Amino acid sequence: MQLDSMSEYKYAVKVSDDDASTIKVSLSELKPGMRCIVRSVTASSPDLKHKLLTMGIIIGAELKITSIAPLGDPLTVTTLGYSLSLRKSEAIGVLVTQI
Amino acid sequence: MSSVASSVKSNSARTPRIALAGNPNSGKTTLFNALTGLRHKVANYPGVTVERKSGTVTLGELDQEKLGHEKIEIIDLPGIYSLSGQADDERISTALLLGEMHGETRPEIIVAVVDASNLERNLYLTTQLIDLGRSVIVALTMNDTARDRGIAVRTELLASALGVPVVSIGAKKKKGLDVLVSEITKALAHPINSTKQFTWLPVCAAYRDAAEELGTLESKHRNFPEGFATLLLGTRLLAEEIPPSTDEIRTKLTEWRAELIKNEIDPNSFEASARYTFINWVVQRSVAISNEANSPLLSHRIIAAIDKALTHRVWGLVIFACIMAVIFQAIFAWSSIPMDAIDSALAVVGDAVASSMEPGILRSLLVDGIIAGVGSVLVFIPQIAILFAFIGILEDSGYLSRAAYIMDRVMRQVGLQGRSFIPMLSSFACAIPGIMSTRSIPSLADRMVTILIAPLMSCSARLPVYTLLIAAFIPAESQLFGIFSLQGAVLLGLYLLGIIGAAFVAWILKLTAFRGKPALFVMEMPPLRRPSVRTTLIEVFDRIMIFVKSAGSVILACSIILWALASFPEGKVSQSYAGQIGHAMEPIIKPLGWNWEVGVGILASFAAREVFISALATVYNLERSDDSSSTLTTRLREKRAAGVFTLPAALSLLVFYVFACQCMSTLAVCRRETGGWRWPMFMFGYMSLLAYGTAWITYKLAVGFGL
Repeated sequence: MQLDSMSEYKYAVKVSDDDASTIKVSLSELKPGMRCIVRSVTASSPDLKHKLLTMGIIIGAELKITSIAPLGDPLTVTTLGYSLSLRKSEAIGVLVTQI
Repeated sequence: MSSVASSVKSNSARTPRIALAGNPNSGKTTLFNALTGLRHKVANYPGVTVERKSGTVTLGELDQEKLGHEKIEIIDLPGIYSLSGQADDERISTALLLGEMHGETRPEIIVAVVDASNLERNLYLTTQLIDLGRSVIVALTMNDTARDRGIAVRTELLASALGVPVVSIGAKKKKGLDVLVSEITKALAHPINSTKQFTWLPVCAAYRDAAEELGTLESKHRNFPEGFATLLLGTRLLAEEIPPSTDEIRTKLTEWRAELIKNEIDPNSFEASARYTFINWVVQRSVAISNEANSPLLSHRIIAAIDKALTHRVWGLVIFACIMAVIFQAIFAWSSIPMDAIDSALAVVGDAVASSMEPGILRSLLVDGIIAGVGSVLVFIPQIAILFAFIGILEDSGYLSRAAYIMDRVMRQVGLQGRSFIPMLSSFACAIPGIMSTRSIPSLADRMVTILIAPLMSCSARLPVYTLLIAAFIPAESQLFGIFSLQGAVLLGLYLLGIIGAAFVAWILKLTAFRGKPALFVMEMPPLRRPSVRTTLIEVFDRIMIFVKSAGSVILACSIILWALASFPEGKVSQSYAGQIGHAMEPIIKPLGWNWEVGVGILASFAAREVFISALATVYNLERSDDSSSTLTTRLREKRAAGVFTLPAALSLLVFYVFACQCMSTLAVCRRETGGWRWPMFMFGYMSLLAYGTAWITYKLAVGFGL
């Protein structure tokens, strides 16, 4: 792989995106059809964080909210070209900027 | 002669082992079935709830000669997303691949199953597998789906980017399988350990140095090769999720973490970000996305519309209710046809044996012990087959995930999740297929709680007992509020009591035994697909075999023991061991309002609830006949008139039957699914206490109200 420095990472490995000028909201607050980019990932437990990261909820990833379950929770997003569903309580620590 | 000698020789050498690893929904099971057919067996890894599947592939003659082996063994690992997680299936897979699992030799080759239509997410695990430094072959599945979406994977470019062979398993499956087997034999003949472990580390010197030193230190204490410790364990350790082996490492870890965070690197997300960055690079080199993706085919638009309807606020719920109604109807009502057929077939066999033998102990053992015991094993098969046929179709088509998505909000009220819904629903017909179907719940805590409360749902075996007692004790003409029949209201009340009890127990378990255990929902929503009949049939066959193997001998043994208790010493029932135990139980069951006769019935129905009726009939010295329940109702009414069997006693008995765990098969299946006797013992214990306690309260209340 011909990456020479961390700046060439498509997905950031930083603690969080330090660009203060962008308005960040929680993934759990978005409505179906909205698109966003992940800015930081925090979770209530290490296992949840690991799971989210493994499934492709990573800083820099582009998400689209595809649906919200009939009873209002959980929600479904597309990331990396596939669909992932998660509870709002699990999505709450995922901060995103809308695009 | 020489061929015999050579085959004996090759059999004595250990069969080469190939591990099949891949994400859930990646087509791994289909590939495993295509390779091994029915030549496979399903077991459990000791002490955990993870299933172990393995099968064999017989090699072609040329390959046999080249390798000196007739066949290869294929181990189908559980579907996982990562090797670095802490869930049981991930730990088991990792340990097995490293050869660190007791009783399992390390597989020579890893076949990484990769869904071509979902390449990036699937390659995450693949890069971890390659990092283990073993021979890896990538098997690319779902190529048709990928092509339909305008995704063209150039296998030779993917192979060179990953540094491992890539075999495409396409529409002409046979050809793909042959190529895969020949790649496997090639790799077995000339083992090449993949040297191209990912270079995602060199791009960040601070992380690499820390992880390398950590790996060296940890591998002295842990049973992991250095490379693995560096790459996978390193990430989890640096992220503070696995306790370090020594205090020295702990101190160093704190320093390293501080250093990384000073450099604005999150050790926690490093692995994921780095791998996905690398994968993005691989995919850009080897995949061509055509314009078709922008103007999807008509069939895609239809599927997308269906998918939208399935999770629609109104239509989603309507479709869900219809599908669940059909499943419930099928396991509750349709299955009674084959079940009755099994019953009558066994009755014919029993009569044939009875008429061809002299009356005596042996005949009694055969007819009332063994044939009846075999019957109580066989009778569950239709329900298991029907439920797993439905689950197979729903899972393969992708609907199972949508059902879990829809029901999650409801099930969460009792601390469970959407994936617990179908097991609970099917438990209204029978807890056995219900417990067996909890396998689709990945969270261990949620799965255990679902298993433990499943038998509280009133199953179809309780229904005959309910109807008998209701018919005998609740007046048929009485009405509730002038519209509902009192009998119907009592029956409904018993079902509701079971549900309330289950919700209560689930809540308690979540606060105690499973407190703080992570229960994640995060779930892949697979695309809708046409289900495979073959995969479904193999699944049904597997589940039936698992049930017969795990529960068959226990149930048979139990029914023989109960037969012996009721038959010896010969003579009147009240003098038999069962009768004696019934009498001895009297001090315990008296507070519930029951006499020794009921005690015998309870004892007999320990193995299976519906036996209560025939046991009570025996105790009351009724003739054996098919229509025994109406005569039994009359006899119970006489007992009531005589004051031996009161209404409060009947009510407490009904409540007892709602909660008591009188089903040997449920316990046997629970043992199989939880990997030991601990949880089935707990299940039996808590249900017995709950049943006794609530029955006692019911009796006291009923007497108090002057019933």
